[in-house]
Amino acid sequence: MPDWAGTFDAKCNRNPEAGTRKVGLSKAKWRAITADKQSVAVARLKIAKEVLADPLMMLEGWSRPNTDGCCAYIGRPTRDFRQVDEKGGVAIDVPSNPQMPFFVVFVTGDGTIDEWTWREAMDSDPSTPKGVEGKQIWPL
Amino acid sequence: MATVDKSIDDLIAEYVPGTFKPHCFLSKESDSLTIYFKGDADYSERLTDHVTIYRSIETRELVGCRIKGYSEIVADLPNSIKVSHGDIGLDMIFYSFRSDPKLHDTFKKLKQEVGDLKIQDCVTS
Repeated sequence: MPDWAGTFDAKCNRNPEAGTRKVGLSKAKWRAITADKQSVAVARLKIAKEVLADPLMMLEGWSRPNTDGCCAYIGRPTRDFRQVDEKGGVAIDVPSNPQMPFFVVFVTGDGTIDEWTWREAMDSDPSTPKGVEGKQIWPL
Repeated sequence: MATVDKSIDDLIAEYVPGTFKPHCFLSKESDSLTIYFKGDADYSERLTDHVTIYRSIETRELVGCRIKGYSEIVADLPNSIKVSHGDIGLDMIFYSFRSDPKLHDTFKKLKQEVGDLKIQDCVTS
């Protein structure tokens, strides 16, 4: 089993219609973001939780070698977080930036959350985030 | 190893905010290297299959990057670099992309920003 610091309930990549699964944040990643005081990354885990549970779209494969089973959960949340001051500190809740409409959570094949980030929309298709590839598994 | 079934809300509640420090994380699971040198709220931009950069949402300034397929990149570094640098500086990782004109300016900037950070300074999963 992966060595996770905390878990999320996510829509199941094997049965998105009906199931949920546990995904998690590795202890090492949690240690790294908290030790380096990445307050925005920590606060954005709240958004990741929402997107994992109720994504707008799910893509599988990531379009790179050896990424079968990896999954991208995509949502369009309306809030984001900012630092209070440039040195860091508490992150505050703010409306999301309409120019970066998509929030993407990348999950590896064993269910470990690898990255959570905002993306712009594709110029040619504003309903899809730029630079996120893979086979669409939700909705079908 | 055992999984700790702690909810993410409980985990976030434990976080003690402080002053941002440059961040370097090496993930074995995704074979990637993530670097942040500024703590601004950011978004990501995929440049190539191997390189994603992070920019400040407010200023669009470069604040970090992610290198995918990290182990292959290190394996491909010339032996002279590996030997003379015993521990590999992050700037050497960027060396691998020197010939890609699309990445040239970005990596020049990244090289300046990471300074003396070394792979050994990264937290590893």
